[in-house]
Amino acid sequence: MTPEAPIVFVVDDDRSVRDALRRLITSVGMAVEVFPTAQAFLSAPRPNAPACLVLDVRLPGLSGLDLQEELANTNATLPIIFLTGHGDIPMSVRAMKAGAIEFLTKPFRGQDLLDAIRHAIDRDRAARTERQELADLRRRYDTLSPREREVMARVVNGLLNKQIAAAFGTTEATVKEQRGQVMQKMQAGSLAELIRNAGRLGIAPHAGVGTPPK
Amino acid sequence: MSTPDSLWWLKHPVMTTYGVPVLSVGAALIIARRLDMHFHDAPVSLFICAVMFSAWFGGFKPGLLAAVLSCLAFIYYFVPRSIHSPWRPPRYRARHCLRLPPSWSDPSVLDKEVQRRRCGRVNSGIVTTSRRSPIGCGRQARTIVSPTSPCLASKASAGSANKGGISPPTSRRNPRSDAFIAQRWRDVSRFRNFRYRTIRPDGSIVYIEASGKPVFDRRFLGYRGVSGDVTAEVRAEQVEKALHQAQAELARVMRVTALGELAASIAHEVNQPLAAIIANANACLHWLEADRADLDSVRDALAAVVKDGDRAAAVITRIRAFLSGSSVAHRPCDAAGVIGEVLFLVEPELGRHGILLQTSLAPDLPPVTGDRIQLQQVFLNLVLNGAEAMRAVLPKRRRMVAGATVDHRDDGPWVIVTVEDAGVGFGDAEATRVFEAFYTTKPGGLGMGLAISRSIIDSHRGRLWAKPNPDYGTTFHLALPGMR
Repeated sequence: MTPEAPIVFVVDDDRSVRDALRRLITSVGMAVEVFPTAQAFLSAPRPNAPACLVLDVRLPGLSGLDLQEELANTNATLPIIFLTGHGDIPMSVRAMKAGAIEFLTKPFRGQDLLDAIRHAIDRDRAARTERQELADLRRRYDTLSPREREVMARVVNGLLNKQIAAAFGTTEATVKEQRGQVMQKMQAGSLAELIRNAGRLGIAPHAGVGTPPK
Repeated sequence: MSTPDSLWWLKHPVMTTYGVPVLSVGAALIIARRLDMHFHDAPVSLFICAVMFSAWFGGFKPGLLAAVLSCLAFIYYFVPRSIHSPWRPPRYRARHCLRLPPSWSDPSVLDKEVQRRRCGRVNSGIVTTSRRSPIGCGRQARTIVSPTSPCLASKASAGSANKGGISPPTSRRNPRSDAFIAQRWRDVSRFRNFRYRTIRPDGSIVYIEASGKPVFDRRFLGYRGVSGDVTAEVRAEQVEKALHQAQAELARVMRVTALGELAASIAHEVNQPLAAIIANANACLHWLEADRADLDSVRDALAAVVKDGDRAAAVITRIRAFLSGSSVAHRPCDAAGVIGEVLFLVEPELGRHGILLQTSLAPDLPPVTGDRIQLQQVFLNLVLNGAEAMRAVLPKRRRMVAGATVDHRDDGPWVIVTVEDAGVGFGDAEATRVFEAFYTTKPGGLGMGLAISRSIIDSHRGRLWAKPNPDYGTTFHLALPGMR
């Protein structure tokens, strides 16, 4: 969870636009990387930092919309700001539906683009934090033994220790001990926190007994 | 076979003494009559030459004879009758031989002052052309058309159209033209192929072409010369002009249509540099607002702004040139330049449709004579047609080759421009039909593009034809005569 400097990726086939965007973004003190084609962007390594993608719709080879699809398929959640020289409504609708942050028509106001970039970076930062926390939770959850997971599922479903012991055919003391293990391993300070974390992990409080989806 | 005996007369002293002056003056006279309509001073110079020639070969006596003959011939043929004497010679035959219009007016002594002023203009022959009627032929031989005797105009209009007359024309419909004609009439000087419009008694408009010269008898009497009805010719010219105008206008409309098809690409081409300019300018503002302005970066960005501004301006300039007026001007232009400018406009559009464009221009293309805009239009039309034909084929097949070569033929170099597409194509039968007006294979097509292209190329004395490719698609060939 080290706060890295945000970075903006720009993909535009027009060199002068590319250079101008690079200047504009660096002038407000943000890091920027430019690519002439979608393929070049995909093959470049991406640093672990909050980022966003400024993408021209019309690109040679893989188009901007294709790249958006490609990123969605590879689960790379990168906020995208689309640029277009000649935006038509179906194209912008498609882009926005697929989760684009903004759809700007060239020539656009510089401030609009910078605002969109900030918005996108903030969103990506939040998403990254969220993802990080979720990954931590999952890692903690993975340390649980199978029995502890079952105990946890029953606990977050509101079952009493006695009921859990009855269900497993063990003593209440055992359940209590396992429950303590769960609380410790999940780093939950209270039952409420455990329930909230379980919710974020996708273990629904009323989903009954079962293994949570990975 | 010539023998010394048969040529004895050539060596006879009388022949050498007097034959040379007679022949040389005769030759001078004939040449002078021919040249008279072009050069005012031709007779004098030629007669002087004849005298010099005779004196050179024959000596004093033949020279003197030549001088006398020259004087007589000059007075007889080149000095207006009214000036030299009341003597009226039987000139009809001579005039007939030389196909000259008939007589001068009643000879009498011309006012010396007028003579002095007008002599340079009056003393030479009358222009005549074969299809014109002399004014006042036959019994009317001595009638002179004058500003105060408009009788001939009515005579001409009443009689056959061929016997036109010169009169101060009155065309009520065109006061400016009237003023011009009246000015011409008052401007007492010779005129040639002067074309004007006049109105017959029945109200129809007739065009007359006249050539003539003023005639004096102490005072200005009027004009004498030839005139003819050229109404049919003028009408044909007008129709032809209107047709050309309409064709040019239609061609311009088709240019606008073609550019309309390119609108999206052109907007993109202008918006790209504009976007870059705005972004660069914003960057500059940010840098300048900082505590320590980054002037190097500002300088770089401003240089880029200038470059992008030029780029946007270039797009606009080319479009404006392409849409410029419908007047057609044939000038030498380089084929490679024409092709390059069109490709500049059309390349983004081709890229948008995923078409790979290849060009192969021969380096030694000769210039062609033609209207640059029209040639661009034809080439643009061929390229857009090719792009259109490839819309339905697989993206990887979309390939266009634009080439230009030079073909040295007997009648000089020809520039052969080819546009090869890999589109849906058509058969041999259709290859000729596509050039017909209103024949189209495109949905929503007007069927005029290729018809107009061919008429443009025809007017450039070139050829335009289509040939199906062996595999798929079509190649359009465009042959234009190059300048040597």
